[in-house]
Amino acid sequence: MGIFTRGALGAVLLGIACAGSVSAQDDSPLKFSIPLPLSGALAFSGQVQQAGWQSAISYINENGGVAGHPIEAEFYDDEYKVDLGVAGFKRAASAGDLVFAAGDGTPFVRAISPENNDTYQILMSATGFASDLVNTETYKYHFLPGPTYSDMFRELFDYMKTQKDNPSVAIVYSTTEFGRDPLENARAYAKDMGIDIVLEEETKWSGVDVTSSAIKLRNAAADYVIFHGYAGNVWPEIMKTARDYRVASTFMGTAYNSDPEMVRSVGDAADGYVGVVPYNLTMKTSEGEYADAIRTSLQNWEVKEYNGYANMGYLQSWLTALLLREVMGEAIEAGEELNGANLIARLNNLKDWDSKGIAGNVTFVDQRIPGGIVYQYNISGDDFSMTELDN
Amino acid sequence: MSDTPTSSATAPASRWSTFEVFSSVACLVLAITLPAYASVYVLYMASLVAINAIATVGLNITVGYTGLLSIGHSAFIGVGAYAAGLAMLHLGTPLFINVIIGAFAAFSVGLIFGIPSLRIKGVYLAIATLAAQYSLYFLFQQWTSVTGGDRGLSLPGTNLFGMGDTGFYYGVLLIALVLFVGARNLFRTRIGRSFIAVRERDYAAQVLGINVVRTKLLAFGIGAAFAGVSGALTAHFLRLVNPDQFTLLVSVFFLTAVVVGGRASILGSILGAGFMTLLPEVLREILSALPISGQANVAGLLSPLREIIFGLLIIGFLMFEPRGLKGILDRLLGKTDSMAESEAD
Repeated sequence: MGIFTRGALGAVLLGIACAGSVSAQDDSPLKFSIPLPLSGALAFSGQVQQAGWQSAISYINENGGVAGHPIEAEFYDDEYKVDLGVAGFKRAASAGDLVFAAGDGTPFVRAISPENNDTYQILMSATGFASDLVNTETYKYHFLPGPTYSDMFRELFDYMKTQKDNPSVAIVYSTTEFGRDPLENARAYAKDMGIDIVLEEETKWSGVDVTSSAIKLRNAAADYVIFHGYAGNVWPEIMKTARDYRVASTFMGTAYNSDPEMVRSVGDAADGYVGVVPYNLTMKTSEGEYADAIRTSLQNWEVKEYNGYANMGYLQSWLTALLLREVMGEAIEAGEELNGANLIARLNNLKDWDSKGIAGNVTFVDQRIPGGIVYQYNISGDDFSMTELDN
Repeated sequence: MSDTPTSSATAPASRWSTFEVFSSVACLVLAITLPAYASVYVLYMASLVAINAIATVGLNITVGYTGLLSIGHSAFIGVGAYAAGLAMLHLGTPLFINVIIGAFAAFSVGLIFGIPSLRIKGVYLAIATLAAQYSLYFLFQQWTSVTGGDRGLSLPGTNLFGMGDTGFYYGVLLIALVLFVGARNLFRTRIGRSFIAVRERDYAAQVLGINVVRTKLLAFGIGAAFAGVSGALTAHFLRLVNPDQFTLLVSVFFLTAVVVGGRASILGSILGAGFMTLLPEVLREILSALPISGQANVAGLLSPLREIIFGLLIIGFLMFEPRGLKGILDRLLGKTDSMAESEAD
């Protein structure tokens, strides 16, 4: 290795070593790198998440920052591509002083985690809810501010058991990595809980030919139908067509398939829909300091008109930012370096942390928040409301 | 009178040679010294360009030089990536061996999916190559016990020459240089010229004694082998192999790189891959520097704007310079027909 190469490598390593060397004495900014799918097929989600991050960071900076340090976030459009996500990460890491790196999905986290574990050791959190993220050895410095998809299935199964002794269920999922993610665990849970999975229907992620799926649902005659792993289309059409075919099952959905705006857009066919989400989306009735701040930010958001409900990605950004403020603030006051090891340890030590209206009292288990909220969606004409269910 | 045309015909060639030597040396020096002053991010992007350039050269051999339209290229990259990944996991083989394994695996699969080219051409062949794209993608996704299904294969890191990212960059650079020189020289051999002859008119090539069946299959195989090398390097590079890295869109990306760079040109392939890989990053930097304020800044405006500019540039190439970046370079150097030049070479 030449002298120049060694010099450059030394500079890079020094930069990395200095990452997180923020002390309580100065007010230098805390650098966050936030790659999101701002264009491409998942832009609808990435753009909302970015808006959530921007408003949360503004709120934190206007209210004293993180123990006096403002947050400085750099957004990066990675189009939900692994190679671009890694490029964005390396770009931010090579600039030095990075204390947090977000991720737009689990494939990116899977790609960068080995290197992050060995070299950078930066705290991370992504927007995906993949079931394997609870592996704290593989994803040593990653935390998930919500339940995994498997956790969400379990919550829906728990709800079914409160309603029926031996319920039957059909699972309709997209042919994507995240669509198939919880299936294996869902089968195991169903077997343990005495729930009969009568149909597993895989469909395209986008498209309009839903007739065969609706017919299969009619033939299966399940008590419940769970939709999982979609964005804005396919599942609403299946629901509408299935209702036309007199399918009487209770429709259910996980995470992105329980977004209030999307469920509402389905119309009367979605009346009685049951969805599980990680956060409290009913903003008009939420109480707490952070819920108030989020409500205000949604009311001032120029892009979407406030309708009393929050988007899940928007709240995920807020909760992540506030969790970071909490643990980084503690670490700075304790004089610790803001590296992955110190920060993930502080996250794991959070017990019943008050999220002030976002997600109840938060306790991390295997670096994720295992519980979600189950809602029933009531739709009649133009009337829409959500009722929190006990399960 | 007779001397003048000869002089004018040979003069550009000699100028090109001088320019070629000078620019090649300059590029080589730049590439070798890059780790001394570039950040980890720049090295990453440079490695990505080199990996994409290898795949683009492979596709150009099949599409540009031999005239066999393929839109299943990313599936061959996937074959190389999975073969290398599995070798790494189960045999613990090093990068250079895995590259050979990836190339051989993709070459074999390329031969199989090249069979339709013996009977059909043009868009019909393109549709047939979709079979490679979809059937191999299906295999990557569904053969869970081997490929890891949707989650794919997580791979150990590569520490080439004990230099981490820098070592990997040099490894990719070395492999890319060998392949680029090899591809360029291929078209000075009988095999390479037979590719071009088949592209121009396969019946005539057969009359001249060229084995058209073998030539077409070989063109598919060699193109796929380059893709396999690119796939093996991608596996080492990202430490992850999963099906979503090898979709139809990725094939379209490489086909666009061939068109933008210039058909039937090795240099064009490199330029095309560089353009397609780096332009979005460059546009991102330029647009981020614009003084736009308000809530809708990046989310609402910059990303779609970047895509629009990117699309317009590609359309511009197709309309105004169908010979691609190589054509522009030729024009700047006073040449008139890059296709003829590359073929004559």
